[in-house]
Amino acid sequence: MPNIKLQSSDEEIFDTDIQIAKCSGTIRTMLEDCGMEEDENAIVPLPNVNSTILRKVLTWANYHKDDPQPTEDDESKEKRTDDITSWDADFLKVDQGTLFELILAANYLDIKGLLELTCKTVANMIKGKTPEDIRKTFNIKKDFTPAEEEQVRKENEWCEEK
Amino acid sequence: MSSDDENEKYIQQKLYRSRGKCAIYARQSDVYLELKHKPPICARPPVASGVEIDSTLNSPDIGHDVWYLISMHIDPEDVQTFALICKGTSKLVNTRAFWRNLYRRHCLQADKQSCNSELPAHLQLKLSDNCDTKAWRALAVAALYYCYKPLKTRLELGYSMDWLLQRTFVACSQRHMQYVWLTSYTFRNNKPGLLVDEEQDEQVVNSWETLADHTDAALKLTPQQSASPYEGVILLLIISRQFTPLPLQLAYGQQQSHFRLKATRELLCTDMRAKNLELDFSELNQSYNNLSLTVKYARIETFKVLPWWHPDFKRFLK
Repeated sequence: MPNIKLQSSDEEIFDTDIQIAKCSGTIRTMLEDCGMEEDENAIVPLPNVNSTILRKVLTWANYHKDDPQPTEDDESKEKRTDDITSWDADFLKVDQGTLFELILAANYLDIKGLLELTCKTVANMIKGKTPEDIRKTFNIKKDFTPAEEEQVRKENEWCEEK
Repeated sequence: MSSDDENEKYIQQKLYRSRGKCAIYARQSDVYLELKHKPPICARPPVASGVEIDSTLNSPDIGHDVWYLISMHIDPEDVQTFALICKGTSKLVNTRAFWRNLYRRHCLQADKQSCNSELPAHLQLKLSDNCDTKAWRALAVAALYYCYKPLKTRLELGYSMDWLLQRTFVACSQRHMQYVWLTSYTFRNNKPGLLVDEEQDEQVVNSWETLADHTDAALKLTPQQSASPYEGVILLLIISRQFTPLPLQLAYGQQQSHFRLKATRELLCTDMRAKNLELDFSELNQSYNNLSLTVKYARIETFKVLPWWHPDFKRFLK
């Protein structure tokens, strides 16, 4: 299998199987549009992803290399938040900083599967918690006035369970 | 050469190269610059990088982009919680993109992109292309109650009287249907911020200008006119065999004030074969001699609470 060199924002080079790298829509487009596929010494720069995150992304891509590519129709399909495999769950046992960086990296690299997985993980962290619990979990400061909070609550009362 | 001299020489060089646009310059000692840290969407205390004491503490600022991507994966039942996290998340919930995504994920069949046979005509996607955010929200919410199973289950279980408490009375009407009387009460949400305003209204101030400022602030809190005229409206339907006159006093309160539903009671009849229903109303105005009113319905057959998103809501709205 031919390899391709990926360069992270901190200039670390990752020699990667081209098929694994191609699970990223961004890399695939770069390879195809710039004709880098044939050039063995070509380096694909990824200025928005650091080496720690890129390593994680490539680990995930390597494990999921045989998964079918998601189609356009899949995007509008009902997204369940409770269908995360045990490998993926273990893979995402990381600190919150890494998790959010993975979301951004998956979005930048256009890896739908990883983006789904990471966002689902955060959506699951929110599930069943009160806003106060969530703020505590993510270390967020409450910036609502009582009136604003009441307004948001009223606007979304349709999903309240009484 | 000292560092001050070097700095001065550097500044002079810069100024001489600026084609004489600036004849004077301030020395470094004359200028004091301070970096102003702008808080992100959700302001949080800075977290030391590279220190992993606790996973909850080692989290970077969650930027708008991350929240946006997460918002696209929020389940309908978690929308309120998500919106209440911070102003950033509440803004995201108030976007067309959010509601369109929620609708597409849960109300469109996988093979069809534009229609769903489960939905009535007025909730189909093709009709909503030119809607604004509020109309999209109303449409998506109503459609979710047709298509999304956890919400459908809630409809089957029915809504309790608790949903009506503290809401403002709008109207009531009565219909005779074969053997029963159907009484319909319409309630709406209180304006957000009203509870806060009430507390402030009781405070005595020295200057009338403070009161004027307060009025301005209160106006800002008033939400924009909703695109859906029914949003925030809830119906109470009471079915009984006995005729009970309409409580017309509710429509003619003192000084055009409104009544708010304060409490409800379901009481078992002495023969234990039927229920009595009592509704306690109180006037909304700020005077000290608030009027209270209790409406009693004896031996009711049943009652039903229909919020604006209920599929049967429009059938009973007069």
